[in-house]
Amino acid sequence: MAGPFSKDKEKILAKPKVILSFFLFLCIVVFCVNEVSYIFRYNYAHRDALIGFENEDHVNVVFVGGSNVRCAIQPLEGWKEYGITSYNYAANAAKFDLFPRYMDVIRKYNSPELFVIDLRTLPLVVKGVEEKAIRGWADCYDIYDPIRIRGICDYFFRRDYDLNEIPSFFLDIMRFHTQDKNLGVNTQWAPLKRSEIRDITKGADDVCEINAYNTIMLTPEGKGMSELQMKVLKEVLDYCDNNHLNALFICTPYILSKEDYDVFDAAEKIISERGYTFQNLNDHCEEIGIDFNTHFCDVNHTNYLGAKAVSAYIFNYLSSNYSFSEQSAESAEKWNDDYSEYSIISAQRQSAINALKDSLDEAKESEKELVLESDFRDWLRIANMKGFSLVLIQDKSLDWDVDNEDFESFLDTNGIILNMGTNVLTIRDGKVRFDYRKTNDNKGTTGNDRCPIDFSIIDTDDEFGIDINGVGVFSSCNNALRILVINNQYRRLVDDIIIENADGDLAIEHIAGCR
Amino acid sequence: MTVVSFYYLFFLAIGVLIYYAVPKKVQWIILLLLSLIFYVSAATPYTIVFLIASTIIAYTSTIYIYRHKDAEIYAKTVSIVAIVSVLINILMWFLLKGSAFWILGSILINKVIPGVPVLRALPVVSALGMGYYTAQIIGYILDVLWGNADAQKNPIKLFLFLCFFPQLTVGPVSRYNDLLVLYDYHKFSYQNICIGAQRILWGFFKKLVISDRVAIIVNSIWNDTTTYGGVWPWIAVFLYPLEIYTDFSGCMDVVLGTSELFDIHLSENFRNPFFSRNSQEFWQRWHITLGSWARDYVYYPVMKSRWMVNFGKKCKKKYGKRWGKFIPWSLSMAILWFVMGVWHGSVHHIFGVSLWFWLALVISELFEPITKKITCVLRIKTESFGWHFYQSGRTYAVYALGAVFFTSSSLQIALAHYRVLGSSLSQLNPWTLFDGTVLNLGVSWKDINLIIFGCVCLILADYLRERYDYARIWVRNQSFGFRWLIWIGIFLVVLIYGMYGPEYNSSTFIYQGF
Repeated sequence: MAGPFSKDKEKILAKPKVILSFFLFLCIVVFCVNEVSYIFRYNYAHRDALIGFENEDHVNVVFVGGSNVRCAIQPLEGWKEYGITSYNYAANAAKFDLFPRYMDVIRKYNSPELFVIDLRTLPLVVKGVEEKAIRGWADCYDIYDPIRIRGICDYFFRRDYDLNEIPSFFLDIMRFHTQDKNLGVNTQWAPLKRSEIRDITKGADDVCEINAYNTIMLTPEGKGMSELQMKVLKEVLDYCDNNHLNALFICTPYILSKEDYDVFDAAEKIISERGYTFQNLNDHCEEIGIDFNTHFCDVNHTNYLGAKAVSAYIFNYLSSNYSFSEQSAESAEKWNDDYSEYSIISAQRQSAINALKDSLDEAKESEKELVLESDFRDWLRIANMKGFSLVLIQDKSLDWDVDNEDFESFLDTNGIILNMGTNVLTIRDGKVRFDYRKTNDNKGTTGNDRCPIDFSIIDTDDEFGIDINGVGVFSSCNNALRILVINNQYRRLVDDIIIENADGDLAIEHIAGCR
Repeated sequence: MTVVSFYYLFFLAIGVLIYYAVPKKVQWIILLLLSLIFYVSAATPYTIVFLIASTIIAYTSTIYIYRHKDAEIYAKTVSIVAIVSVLINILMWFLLKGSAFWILGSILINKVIPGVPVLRALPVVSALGMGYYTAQIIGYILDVLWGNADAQKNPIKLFLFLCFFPQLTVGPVSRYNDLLVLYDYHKFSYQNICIGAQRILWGFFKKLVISDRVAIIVNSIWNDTTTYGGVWPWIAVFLYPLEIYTDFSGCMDVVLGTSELFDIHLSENFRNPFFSRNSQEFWQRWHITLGSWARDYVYYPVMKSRWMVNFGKKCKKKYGKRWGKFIPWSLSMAILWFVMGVWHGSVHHIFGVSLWFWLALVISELFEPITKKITCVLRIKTESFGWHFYQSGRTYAVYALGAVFFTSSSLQIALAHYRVLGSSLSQLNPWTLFDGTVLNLGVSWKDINLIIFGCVCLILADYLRERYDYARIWVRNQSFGFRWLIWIGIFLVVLIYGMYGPEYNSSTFIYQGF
C-alpha cells in the first residue's frame, strides 16, 4: 500500500539541504532535552560545587569523596594558613567505584598536583543500587557527556539492577519531568548559565549541629574487604597509575565500626603495596584534637568545629609532606576575594555553632534541676531549652478542661489539641517535628527527627507507645499525658513525666529511673 | 516491552538503521527478526508456538486450496479444508482467550446437571495479540478460498504477515494483499522517517498527555461512586470515550508511524469518529479495520448466504419491501455484533458491545424515515454546523453510554454502574464541578489544563485531517520555522507533561488485551 507522501520521495531525497536540516533539527532536539533536563533536575545541595568546579582556575589539591569530605574539609582554611589552593569534588552518597569518573571530570577541567582520595565510602560499595549515589553526581552534567555516560554504565554493570529503571538514569528528564513545582525557585534555573556557577566555599558544607558519640561503634568484627570492594580499590589504584597521578589516600573521621576498620586495614595493605600513602585520620583523632562530644553532627559527619580541626591537621600534613606550585598574582587575588567572602560565612557558622554549643552546655547543666522540678511552669521553662527535645505520648483523647495558662500556652505554641487524638508528637527547637495519629493506616510508622531521635511507633491492641532507638520503650498512660525529655547532644533520656490533670496548678510526676 | 517505552524507541531506532543498511533482498528477514525480538521481550516466549501453529495450519490449508480451487471435483474438499482451518484457529482462540465463555458455560451446565464439573482456565498463557492475528489469518484463508489473494508459498513470509511487530499487540487487522509490501524492497526515504516519527510523536501525545490523565479521573470516580455521586458518574461516562479514543488511536499512531519508518503503510484504523453524525457512520470511522473485517468475513457471507437470501424474500413477501430489507439486515448485524462481542473476549462485552450498539444501529435505521420527515416539517437545515454538532453529540452520547461496559470487568459491575447513573439523575448539581472536588480525584489544576489543551489540539488536528486528509499535510505546507515550532513544541509537551517514567506506572494500552 502506498503512503500519502510517496509522490515526493524522490524529489526530496536528492537535496543535501534536507540532510543538513535533519542534523540541525536533531541538534536542536538534543539541546532542548539537555537544557530542559537541567531545569527539572533535583537541586542537590552539592550541585553548585560540582558544576562550579569547571569554572575554577588551577587548584593544587582536589579532595575526592562523598559528604564526609564536604563536612570535614574547609579548603579556604588551607589557602589562608598555607597558601594551598584546594577543592572538594565530593557528592553526597558518593560511592568509591565512581571515583575514577570523578577524576576524569577533575582532569578535564583542571590539573591538580595532588588527588586526596577519601576511602570512607569504600565499605559502602555493595551490590545494591542506591539511586542518589549515582544521580547525585550524574545529574550535574550534560546528558551526552561521555564521562557521565561511562560513569552510569560503570555504576550499574557492577550491581543488581532493574532494566526498566536504567533509561531514567541516562535520560534523567524521565525521572524529574514532574518537578514543575520547583520551577518557581530561581536556583532551579541557575544551571542554564553554568559558566557563572561558583561555590565560594569550594565544595565545603556548613554543618552546625552537635551530637556526642562514643569513639567507636560496637558492632561485630568484620571480615575485611569484599571482593567487589577489593576490585574497585584496585581500579582506583590502576587509574592513578595509568594516568601518573599523585595521590594520597585518607579516611576522614567518623564514628566507625569494627567492620569498617577492618576494611581500612585491608585497604592500607594494598595501597602501601602499590606505593601510595594512606592516612586514616581516625587513628589520629587525638592529634587532630577531635572532641567526640562536640565535633560531630551525626555518626558519619563532622560538624563545623570538627571540620576546622580536621582541616588544620590535613593542610599541615600536606604542607609538610608535599610541595605545590604557587598561584599567579591574578589567581591569588581571586582566592583572596573568595576567602574574604568565605570568612563572613565562616564567622556566621562559628557564631551559630558556638551558640548551639552554649545552649547544649546550658541544657546539660540544667538536667539535674529539671528532674527535681515539681511545678509544670518551671519544669517547662527548662524543658523548652534549645538542648532538649520533647516527646509527648497519649493513648486516647484527653478529656480535660485545661485551666492552666502555661499549659495552654504550651499547647497553643506547638499547635497541640489534646482532644483531637494526637498520639505521639516530637518537639525540637520549638517546632513540631513528628506528629503520629492513631489510625489504621500508619501502624508501624517510623520517624526520624534527624539527630538525635530515631524511633518507631508501637501500636497494637495491647500496647501503644514509642520505641526510641538506644533509649528505650515508653508506653502511654491511661488518661495522662506523658512527656519525655531527651538531651539532643547525648541522645539520652533526661526526664520522664506524667501529667494527669489539667485543673488549676498542674502537678507533674517524675517517673523513677531518670537521672 | 510496550510500544510506549524507552526500550521500544531504542529498539526501533536500531531496527530502522539495520533495515536500510542491509541488502534489500533480506529486508523482510530483518522485519521478521525484529518481530521475533519484539515478541520475546513483550510476551511470554513459549506462546510463540501458537503463532507458529496458526501459520502452519494456514499455510498447509491455503496451499491446498490454491492448488485445487479451480478443479470442480475438489470444490467440496477445498471448502471443507478452508472451514476446518478457520475453525481450528477459532478453537485455539476460544480455548486460550475465550475461556470466560466456556467456563461460564460449564457453570450454567453444572447448575442444571450438578454432576458436570465446572471447568477451569487452562494453565497456559495465550499468545500476544491473539485476537488480532487470528482475525488476520481467518481473513487470509477466506481470501485465498474466494480467489481474492494468492497463497503465500513461503511459510516464513506468511509467519511474518502474522507476527509483524507494529501491529501485533493492537492491530490494525490487516489484509494479506495490503501487506504484500512486507516482502518488497524498500529504499531509504527521509520523508518516511519524518512522517513516521511525526506520527509516533503524535501518538505519544495522545496517549501520555491526554489519555492517561483522563483515565485518572474516570477510574477515581468509578472506584468510589459513594463519594463521587451526582454529576460525577456522568462526567466519567462522557470522559471515557475521550480516554479510550486517545488511548487506542494514540497507539495506532505509534503503530502506523512505526511501519511508515519501514516504508510500509498500514490501513488507517480511525478517521475522526466523533465527527460522525450517526451510529452507522461512527462504526465506519472507529476501529475501521476490524469493522471492515467483520463486514467482509461475517456480515456479507451471512447476508449473501442462501438461507438469508431466502429468508429475505419471505420477509419481503410477507411484510413488504421495507421490512423485507430491514429484518434480514438487522439479523445479519446481530450476528456481526455477536461476533464482535465474542472477539472482545468476555461475556459482558456481548451485552455492552453487541447488544447496545446493535440496538443503536437498529433504532437509528428504524427511525430514519421519521427523522427525515421531522427535519423536513421543521425545516431544519441539516447541513448546518449546529445540526451536525447535534448529531455528533448524539452519536457521542450513544457511544459513551454503551462504553460503560468497557469500564467494567463484569456484567454485575456494569449494571451497578448503570444503577449509579440512574440514581445520580436526581442529584445532578453542576456546581460540584467548581467546588474543588475535582482536585480530590488525583489530578491537579495543571492536569485539567493539560487535558483541555490536549483536547483543543486534538480537535484542531482532527479538523485539519477532515479538511486535508492528513493534518501533517497542512503542517508540511507551513513555513519552516512554524513547522519546527509545532514539532518541537509537541515533543517538549510530551517530554515534560507525559505520564511516563519512574513517577508513574508503566502505560499499557486498553486494546492491548485482545
